[in-house]
Amino acid sequence: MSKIDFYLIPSPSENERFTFACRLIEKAYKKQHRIYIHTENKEAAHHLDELLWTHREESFLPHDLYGEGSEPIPPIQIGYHIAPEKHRDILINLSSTVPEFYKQFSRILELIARDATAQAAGRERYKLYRAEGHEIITHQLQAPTEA
Amino acid sequence: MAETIEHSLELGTSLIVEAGTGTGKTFGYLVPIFLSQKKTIISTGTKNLQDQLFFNDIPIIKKIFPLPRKVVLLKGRANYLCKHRVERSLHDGYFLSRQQLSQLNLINEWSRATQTGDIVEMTTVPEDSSIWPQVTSTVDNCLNQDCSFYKECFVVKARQEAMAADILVVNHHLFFANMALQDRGFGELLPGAEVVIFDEAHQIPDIASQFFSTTLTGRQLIELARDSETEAGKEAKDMKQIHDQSLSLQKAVQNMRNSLGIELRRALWPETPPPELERSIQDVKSNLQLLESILRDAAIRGKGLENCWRRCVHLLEVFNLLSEKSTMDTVHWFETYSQSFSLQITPIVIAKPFQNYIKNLKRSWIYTSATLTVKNSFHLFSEALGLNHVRQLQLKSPFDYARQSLLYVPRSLPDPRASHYLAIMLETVIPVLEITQGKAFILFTSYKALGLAAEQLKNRIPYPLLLQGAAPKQQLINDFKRLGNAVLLGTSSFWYGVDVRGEALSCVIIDKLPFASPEDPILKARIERVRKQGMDPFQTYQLPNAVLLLKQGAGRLIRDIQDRGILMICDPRLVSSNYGQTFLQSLPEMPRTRELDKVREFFNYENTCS
Repeated sequence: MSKIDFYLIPSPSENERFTFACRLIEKAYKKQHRIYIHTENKEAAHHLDELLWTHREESFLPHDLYGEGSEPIPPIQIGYHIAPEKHRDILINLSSTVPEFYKQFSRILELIARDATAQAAGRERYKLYRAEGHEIITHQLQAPTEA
Repeated sequence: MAETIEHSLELGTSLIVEAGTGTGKTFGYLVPIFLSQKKTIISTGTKNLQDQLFFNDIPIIKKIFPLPRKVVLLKGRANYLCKHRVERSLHDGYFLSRQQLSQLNLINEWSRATQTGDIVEMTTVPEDSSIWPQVTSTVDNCLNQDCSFYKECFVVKARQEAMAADILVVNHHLFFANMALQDRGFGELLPGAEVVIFDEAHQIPDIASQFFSTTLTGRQLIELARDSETEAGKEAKDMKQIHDQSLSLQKAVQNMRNSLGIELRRALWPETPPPELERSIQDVKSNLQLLESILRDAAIRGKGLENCWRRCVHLLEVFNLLSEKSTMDTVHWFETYSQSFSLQITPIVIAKPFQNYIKNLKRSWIYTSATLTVKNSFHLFSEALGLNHVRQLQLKSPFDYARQSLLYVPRSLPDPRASHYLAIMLETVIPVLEITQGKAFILFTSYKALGLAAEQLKNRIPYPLLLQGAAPKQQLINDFKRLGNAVLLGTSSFWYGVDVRGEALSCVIIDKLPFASPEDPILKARIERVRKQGMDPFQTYQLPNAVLLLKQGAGRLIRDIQDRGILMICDPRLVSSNYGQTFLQSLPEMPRTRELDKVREFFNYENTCS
């Protein structure tokens, strides 16, 4: 059984969802996890790649696009269409559907923006996971308070 | 920088300064030197940089501070005409090609007019002409006081002039040749010097390592054989055995070259040489011994033969040393070239011999360069030279890299060690060259990659392609500036000290992170030493050295406050490896991207602005 977390983001913006994903990735990387991020399509994968490459907060985030050839394989990989071999640890799902290969991961993180379409798709995924009998925790994130 | 150096000069202490591109490093040290009135040696990386200092920078300072300071330029002996060698070449004209002969005649005419004998004056003969080695001297073939031209010798004159200097401008090779006493017959460069400035100081560890090595090349032996024959032709025509023995030695040297294997390589000297090699070593040795005994008898016949005998004794001694087992703390290795080979014994650590040399000299030693730190630490450099207690100063470049530059790492590259890497990497380079319309340096980590890339690019891009090796370095750089849309493919020396300002150079492309080949015998020995000390050789040695080299290469891009440009580093490991961070933290803070569109935007913005 996988452990699944749903993060509800207090913004409808897809950009903020990606920024939040970067923060989650950084946190997990610091705890020495291996992270695979599944995105909707190539454009989204490239967008996240660019965000991680230009990420200037505390940590450098060594990553690549799944299928690029650098050795050793970095702890953070981004993909969009194939089942990633050798990944067992954390899956961050940024696509709108549940990827078939999700069961190979011990933890799955879902990020839902405050947008009707995204929320509807999110509910579908939630149902699917629950039907499969996984443990799900939902986190309601707070909007950053205006200073 | 000037103030800190001034302070060091007053106290007579040493200093290490990293001064980023554009800080005005040269004036930073020239001003305090001019004001201090102390005798100073300035040593820089190349002859070109020497000329730049002497003919461009120093005159500016002299104008501002009109003090009676005698400034002298001194180069290595290969830069001065040797009248003895000119005369000899005129005698043995039959050795020369028609082109060489006509150049020799031009040189001969000039030799009567010139005051300095500096071959840079002789612009009608190209600097890479094969005639120059025929009309300049080496430590080996110089006759010193025995020479009939000794009183008119340009090298002697230049050295005497240098001794009287207040400020002496030399290069690192000359400085260390003198320091390692490889140029016998000359004393100190500048007696009583109180200050030594090493500009381009990042080169010092490698150059010092070279000069603290014991080296012998097959070429030196061949030249000894040929010179013995020539001198015998003049001084002892009857001694046919010199002629025979010289041929026999040349043959033995050629055999030894062959028994080292056809492949061009640098490798450790085998502890027990294979039988064929062992035979050829013994053969060279006995031929040298025989030549020595013949020359010993012939030496009395003339100065030329006497000199050959001395050389032979010396080379025999070195050959014996280099063909036997070496001592601890040294690397015993060899390198093969297409026609020749070299045998070398290099100290694994040079800090000790270097410190032994400088500790007896009460001087201020100032080390400066644009690239000495890795992640803001001077450790690698100071450790290499044993400068652990020397004061350090780091000055950042004043350029606005956030606005002036963009770092681009393309996507979809395979591992740089894969065999198809180069082909795929070049496919990512072509669209960038189309955006920048040429105006690029492509820096390679190996000659092999450079050659293959030249093949692959030549019919694919509509811009002039300039290749390292096709012409002398300075000419390639001048062509690059003149053409305005050229693409220059370079390796090794093009990573350093090349200064192209303005739009002609809008893009620097690096084929992969410049880790030294782990096959290199000296690197191997240094890695082994670090490992034995219980440290990680990758983190403490290989990585920081690659970082310094990358900083050098990347430093070619922005040379001026007006410059804008793209730095493209084609290595996925910069993004995907933990150590990518070490490289990024050692480069100036540049905006980053992996999107070709961002490169286009950056470049189009530049075009609409200019």
